[in-house]
Amino acid sequence: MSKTLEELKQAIVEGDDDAAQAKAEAALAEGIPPLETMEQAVVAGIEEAGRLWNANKYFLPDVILAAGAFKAAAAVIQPKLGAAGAPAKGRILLGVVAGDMHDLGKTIVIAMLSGAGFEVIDLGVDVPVQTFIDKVKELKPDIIGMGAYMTTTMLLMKDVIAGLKEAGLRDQVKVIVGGVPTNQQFADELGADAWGRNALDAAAKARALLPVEVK
Amino acid sequence: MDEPKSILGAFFATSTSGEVQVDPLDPCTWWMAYRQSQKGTMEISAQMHDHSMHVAGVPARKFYYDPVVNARVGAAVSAYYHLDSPAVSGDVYNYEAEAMGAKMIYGDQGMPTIDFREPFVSGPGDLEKLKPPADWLSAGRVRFIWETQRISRVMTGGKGLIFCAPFSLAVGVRSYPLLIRDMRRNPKFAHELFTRLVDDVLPSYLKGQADYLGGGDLAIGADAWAAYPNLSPEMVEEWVVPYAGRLMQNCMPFGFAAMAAASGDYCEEDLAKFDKHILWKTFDSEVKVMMGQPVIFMAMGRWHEYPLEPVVEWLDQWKAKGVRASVTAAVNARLLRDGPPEKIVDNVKRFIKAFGYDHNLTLFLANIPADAPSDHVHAAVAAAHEYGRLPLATNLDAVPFELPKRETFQEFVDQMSGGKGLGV
Repeated sequence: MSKTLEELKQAIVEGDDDAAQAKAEAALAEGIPPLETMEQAVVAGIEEAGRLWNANKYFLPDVILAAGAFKAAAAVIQPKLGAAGAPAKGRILLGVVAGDMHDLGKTIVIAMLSGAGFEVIDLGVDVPVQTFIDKVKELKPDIIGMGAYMTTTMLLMKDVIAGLKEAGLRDQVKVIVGGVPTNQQFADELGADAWGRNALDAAAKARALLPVEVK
Repeated sequence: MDEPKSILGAFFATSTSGEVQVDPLDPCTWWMAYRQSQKGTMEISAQMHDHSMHVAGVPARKFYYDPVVNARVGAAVSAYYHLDSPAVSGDVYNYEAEAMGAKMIYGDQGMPTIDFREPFVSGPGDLEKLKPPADWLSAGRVRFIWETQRISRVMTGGKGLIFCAPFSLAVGVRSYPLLIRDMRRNPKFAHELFTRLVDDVLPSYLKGQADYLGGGDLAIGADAWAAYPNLSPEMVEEWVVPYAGRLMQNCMPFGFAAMAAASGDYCEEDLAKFDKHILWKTFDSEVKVMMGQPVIFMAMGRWHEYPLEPVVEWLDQWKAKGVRASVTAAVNARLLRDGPPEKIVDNVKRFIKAFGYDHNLTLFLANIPADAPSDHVHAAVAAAHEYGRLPLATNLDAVPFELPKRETFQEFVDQMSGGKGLGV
């Protein structure tokens, strides 16, 4: 691996978004193929941060900074991937339910899902029930992911799933839920297809739900 | 060293004095009368504002704005559950930031929340915004929370003050990702932000609150954002401990102690990653936040699944010195929601067995989920009162216990009010 790619990977592992952006630009300037840069440095960097998290070597601040650095580098590389890019493993629509502004988990989930090869569309926070349903109709994702931080707002996930059923969309999209107050039992009660214990787990569950490339 | 009082016990579980007459039209007296009748057991408290609102069927836009509604609902639900302190409170992390001008989202479903998409402090140029408003009482919802606290103090006879701890307030005004980035990449700016909060904003807020309420003795600041792994123990030592001490110093001239609570609370979600050495570091940092007093919080983590032996092992250092530590042990929110009641009861008994004999134990119900079944809460409280009957039985396994069979909340309200309801 080139020195630039090594430095880019390291910048992501260390959560230095400025350095990650600069090194990504340097990689392009040096003519390193965007796909190679993405896979060997950007994705490898966020995966390494996840490994350190699982090993209790990294804490949430380290991961959130790594996710920020991943985002900065990916913003440089992804527009250049074009036809040369690997096909997405699936399209995932992600949002935090209405009344809830906590997007910390979502930020990391997006990084991990993107790193795992999914096309992720971020609906943001405080997303009304109807918006989830309208966006499923419009964008036809393979998976819809909902997050909540509060025990009041998490109950709105039921309304989203009910709305999907009512609109005849439930069979066309898998549903993953996550967030601090949720657990497997809650996901089962909702009728969700999976519960993501954390960002890494969400990526693993998404892979399991879509075991073959669908796009 | 003197034996520390149980911090939450000192703050919450003060007893009412005098003969309380139940007023069917005032749910606050329902709790006061209950509390007066309840003696000789270990105390159990709860954080349950969203749950209370849900159980009582009161709209969020009333519950989080009208202090009388909040107090009556909180008192009624506390009386229903036989809690030893009235869970009369609100969204404790928001008031100071909101009063200074932070943008909020006011939802229909639950508590108001800060809009982190537009941080109040968007950069160093915004530091000037971190200052007390011209009049705290008329800013944001300060009147609501101070008046709620006033009613709570009337109910308990206590003199407590409440605030948002410095680290959590820093997150409130800056957002967690940006604050973390500042701490790592621009520590000078981050330190200036913290300094303004503990030198200017919070002392002014607490002084104003104390003046409004007629004094205060202990101010407790919730600090969930400083929980582990939101912060590593080392980061707690660098960013939480110094400012906790500085805030304490700044408030001493006002005649009350101001302490952050549960900074460093161990909340590892992945059981496979449970690490007693990290746990011990979090306890060590909690002691530093508490000015050297052996006060630990086992609050929001998965304490129904973590082993308790490492906690006992850490506490043994204090026991060896003849010191009873202050231990707050909480029944996990998801356990309270999911049950079954038998597991909840076992969890409470396990806490008492582990900590009740050698330390000052306060039992707590951690942020009861909005839709947690009431039977689950009744089970937890009954277990605390039966297994926690003082003096503690030598063998808790021999203590007879039956799950309580209780009326619904609505039936309880009808009985207490003579069918007139909560009056909200």
